[in-house]
Amino acid sequence: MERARAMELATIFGAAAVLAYLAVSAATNLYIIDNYGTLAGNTTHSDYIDIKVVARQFSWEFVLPNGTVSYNTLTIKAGQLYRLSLTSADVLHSFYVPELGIKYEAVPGFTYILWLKVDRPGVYYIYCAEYCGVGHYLMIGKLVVVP
Amino acid sequence: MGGEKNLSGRDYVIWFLIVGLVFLVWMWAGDWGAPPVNPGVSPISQHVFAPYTVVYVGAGVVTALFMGSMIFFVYRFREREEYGEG
Repeated sequence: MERARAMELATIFGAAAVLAYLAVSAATNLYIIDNYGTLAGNTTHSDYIDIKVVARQFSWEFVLPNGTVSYNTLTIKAGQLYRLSLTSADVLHSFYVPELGIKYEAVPGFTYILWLKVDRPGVYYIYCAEYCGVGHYLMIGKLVVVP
Repeated sequence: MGGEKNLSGRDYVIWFLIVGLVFLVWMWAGDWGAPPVNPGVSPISQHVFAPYTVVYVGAGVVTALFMGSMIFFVYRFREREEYGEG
């Protein structure tokens, strides 16, 4: 085979191999993240705690299983698995915790499930990562993780 | 070098060096592929940040190959004086 042709093919298939690896790696990890609770064998309700998260202009509303509602601050236990049901009461928002690497869209009329388990106690800020109106910059919540 | 069609050994060395330099700049700009935050905070976050370095380095390889080659081609096959500006 002509050397130039070999170089051309090596470039094409080399780049394709890199991109294929990136795609498989991203898809695999995304699947684990989205299904963490069920993959870990937490199929019974007692293994995780359900929390409803409602995003609205311009605050975060957290509804705990006992009906308690808190605004902008969610306190959870370190090492405990939580299942957050995320939705929006008005416009598009985005639940973004940079230190945990998670960002989920909050869409009116839809509920998205995200799994949350934090091992290290501390305070993690929750930002809205979707421009949602004039008070968008005020929409900052706190995730407080206690031992 | 110059206007010859075929690449010489020196051309290949320069091509390789430019691609390597682009890759080094890419890695330096991205803190050598280190995740921006501590991935050990949460077991779920570990799956978010696990592919970070691989993705960053992989993207760097593709970027270095194509950007480095373009820079090299601009240099190697630039228009000679006799064809330009008039």
